[in-house]
Amino acid sequence: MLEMINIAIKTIFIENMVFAFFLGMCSYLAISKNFNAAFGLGLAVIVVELVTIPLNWFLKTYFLEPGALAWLHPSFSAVDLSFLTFLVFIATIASSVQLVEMVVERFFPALYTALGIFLPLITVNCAILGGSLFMDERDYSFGESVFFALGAGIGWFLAIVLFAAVRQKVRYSNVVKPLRGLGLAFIITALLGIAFMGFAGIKL
Amino acid sequence: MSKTTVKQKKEGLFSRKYLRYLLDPINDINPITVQVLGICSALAVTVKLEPAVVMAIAVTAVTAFSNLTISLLRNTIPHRIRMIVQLVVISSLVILVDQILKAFAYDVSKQLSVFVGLIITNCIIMGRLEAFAMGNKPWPSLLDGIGNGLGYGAVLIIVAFLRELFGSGTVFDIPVIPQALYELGYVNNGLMLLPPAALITVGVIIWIHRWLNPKLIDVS
Amino acid sequence: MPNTNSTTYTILYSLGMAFIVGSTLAIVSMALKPYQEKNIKFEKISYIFRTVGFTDFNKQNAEQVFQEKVREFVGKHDGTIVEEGPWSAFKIDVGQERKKRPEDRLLPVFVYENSKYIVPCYGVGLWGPIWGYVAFEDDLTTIAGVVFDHKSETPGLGAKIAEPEFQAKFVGRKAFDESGRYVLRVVKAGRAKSDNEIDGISGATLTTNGVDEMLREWLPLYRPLLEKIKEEKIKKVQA
Repeated sequence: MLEMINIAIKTIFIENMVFAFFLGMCSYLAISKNFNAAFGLGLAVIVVELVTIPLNWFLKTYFLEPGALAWLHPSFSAVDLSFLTFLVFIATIASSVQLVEMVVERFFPALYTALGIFLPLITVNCAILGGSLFMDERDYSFGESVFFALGAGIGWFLAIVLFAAVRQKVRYSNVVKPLRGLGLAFIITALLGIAFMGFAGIKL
Repeated sequence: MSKTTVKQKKEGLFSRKYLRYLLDPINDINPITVQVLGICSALAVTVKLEPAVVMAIAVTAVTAFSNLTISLLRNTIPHRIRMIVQLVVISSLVILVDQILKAFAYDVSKQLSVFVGLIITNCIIMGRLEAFAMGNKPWPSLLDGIGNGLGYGAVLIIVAFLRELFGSGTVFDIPVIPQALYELGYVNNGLMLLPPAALITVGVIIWIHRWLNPKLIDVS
Repeated sequence: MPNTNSTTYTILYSLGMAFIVGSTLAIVSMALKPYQEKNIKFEKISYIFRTVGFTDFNKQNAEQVFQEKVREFVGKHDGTIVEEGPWSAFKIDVGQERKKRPEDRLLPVFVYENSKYIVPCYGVGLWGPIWGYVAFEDDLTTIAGVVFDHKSETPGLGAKIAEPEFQAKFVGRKAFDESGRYVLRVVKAGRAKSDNEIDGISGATLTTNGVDEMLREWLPLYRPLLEKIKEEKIKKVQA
């Protein structure tokens, strides 16, 4: 159990999706101009990570891995469908994002008004596909992949919320013209990343 | 009757108009520094030049061929499953790239690891399909794809060159900083190898790019 | 032009697409599989040969040369040999074995030219898995050479474990003392005092610790098995 919590902590602070792997940078830069929008998108990412990574774990373990189809019939144990991994993962993500959107709209209308517009954006957020690919590459067990999903989501949420807050302050500063906007956004992210590197010393 | 119709002027394959599709994305509408697309995979592979070059080629191939395919299919795609069709085309191309790299460039494919797969969610590709290929003929779409791939690749290679030069003192793994300099006390800048350095480098490149090309300056 | 918005069309379109995409990818993947497997095999053979400094092979003849020069054994930590012969040890993935309890693990051993004993090991660095191969001289104590590699250690810092400069420090060191106790230590850079302590990489203490822990976990496990193999299989050949 402790080991699983460690995975979550590690993914939030040390191997943060944004600061260590630059995943989900597109929406990270585009949505962070407004603090409330950033907060909403961050929450949506947590939800979608938590849905897609365990789901993809099932698909990987019972359909895609070499020999994964053995549960259907022993003669299928030589089948290796791992070349379909990318396709299956992205299809799962696209469809579960739609599903999450419908469920949220039906049962949590208040949440939907807050998150609704961000959900479609999430399909092409690399942090989501990246989460599933890391889960595959690092060979996590089911429990580990759930905690990894939690960590990946919270880490991304933390990154965008921190960044949006800084960006709101920067709006009132006098920055050299060519550096305004995008250029400075990159440098702020870099500084936040350097601050997060301090967490690498945590002994887990 | 046919004699009176004005013969429609056929445009050459590389007329000025077509060339613009190819060249604009490299400077004025560069996908990374202006359109802010496709940054995810751009930064993680720029520690060394070799993976950056391979990544640039892979992304160019995928944008070019996905643009071409979608443009050919554009009138047949059912509207409701448009996004899924696009995603399927992109991911199939990425799977092909991945399989080819694993077979013929194994070392590089190991270095790129999950970032090959992440080409799928590279927003440049989806963005170009929606904005261009869905509404244009195959040939301009192909050029637009190549142009955007190259514009992305150019930034990638500049960043990788700087990071490798200052971080490891090499270019394509060949040492270029003379030994004498090290003896005088020069050391490689370890920070250049860490993730934040990629962000700083891109930030500075954007700064210089906008300083040279003031029409790009953010008004906000 | 059929109505592209009708449900029938949409369903037929998706089925057609799934069929075309699925079959194309399956064909390509099958056609490229032999090349991919050959790459993976070649990499592993290169690791093993590099520990003993043997370089006279290439991608074409690697598998053949490997079979000529190397004998393989698979055993347990108590010294029992469970399997031997071509590709027996080669197919064992120590990364998978590491998930089992030490006493259940299958231990692969490669014997180069009946004189050097090469054992694989697997552990974790700062960012991800690290692995390596250690070659022992005929006395089963002195290290003849090592090779380490890693998935994602920091380039320029932890990634240096994969460079010859670091690996050369291990050559000629004794991993065990007279009584067979494991004594090798990889310590923080600049702290090595005695002959069995090896300087780590400066700025990469966590990766260095990873290497130390990996060797400490695996090398003592192999010791009884190596003695047994030497006693029963190798001495007979030499005699």
